[in-house]
Amino acid sequence: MKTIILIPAFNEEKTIQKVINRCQPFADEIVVIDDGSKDKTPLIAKKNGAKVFKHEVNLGLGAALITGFEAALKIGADIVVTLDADGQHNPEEVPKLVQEIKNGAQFVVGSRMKHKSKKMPALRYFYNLGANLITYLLYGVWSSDSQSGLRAFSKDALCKINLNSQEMEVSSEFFKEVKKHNLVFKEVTIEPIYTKYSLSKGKTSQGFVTGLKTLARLILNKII
Amino acid sequence: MILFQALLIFFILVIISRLILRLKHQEIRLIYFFKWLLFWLITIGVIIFPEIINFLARNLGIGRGVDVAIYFALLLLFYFIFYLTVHIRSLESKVTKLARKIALNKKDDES
Repeated sequence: MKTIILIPAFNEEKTIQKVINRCQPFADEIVVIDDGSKDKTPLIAKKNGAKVFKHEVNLGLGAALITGFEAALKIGADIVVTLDADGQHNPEEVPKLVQEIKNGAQFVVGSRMKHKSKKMPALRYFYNLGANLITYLLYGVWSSDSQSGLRAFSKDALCKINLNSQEMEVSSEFFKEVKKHNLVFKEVTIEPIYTKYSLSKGKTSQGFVTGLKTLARLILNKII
Repeated sequence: MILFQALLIFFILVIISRLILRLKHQEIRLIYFFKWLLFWLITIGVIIFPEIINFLARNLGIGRGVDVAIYFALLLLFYFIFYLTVHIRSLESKVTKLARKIALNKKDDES
């Protein structure tokens, strides 16, 4: 079964090389969707053996993932694992997600909230809890970590789902598709990793204002 | 005619002249040109003959004519905000599809 690790990246030249190199033992191919980076992210990714697809302009996480899924299917993926480019996921945990897909799951989420360690900062914990609740209220599927970036999809799940999200709201939209297509959904426990770098990036990409914008876009998606 | 009415009409005439220029440079479709022209001509009519909105106010049970104008203006503004939001999202979706198509069609060595 061909496993592809999909890494959406926007201005991640500091971490992308390390992330790709650590992913290599766990995937047949690595696909990087460069979402309009202004730095050397696509060059570094390519030099390190990843297949790079480049958005000419920055479109957002959702748009990058959708492009990535199309690219992965085009190059014959059977299993697609998504992973963040800022180093906040341990690639050694990828096989756990892949195994669940091989066991019959169609969508697997790596849950940081189920991990016993208290590594997740309190503010992030409550932000994630709120996002889980909103996802449940909107789409009727409960996940202990709906916003986790470490996910795995089977090929048939990717062929079924139809995503429209542009930005961070995609994380919740997956659950709309889980409900709609009755996908077999599993969670595996993963270790929450918060480096200084990922926390500093998170301040802009996952702050309170971004949270409100994401909520507004989710509601807008629901009504328009 | 009081000064305020004259100023408003002058302001609307400037807008209409801009509208004509846009049509001349083919920056606006004919249908939108006539829609906006009609809107501004009605507004001029209401400014010159404010009794029209007083009449409307009496019949709608709102009270003052100026309140009718404010209610309609608010209604129109909200409609435009909604229209623009939908329009922007549609444009955003088109740009995304275009960028995706370029990304997927480009050969790996070109990226």
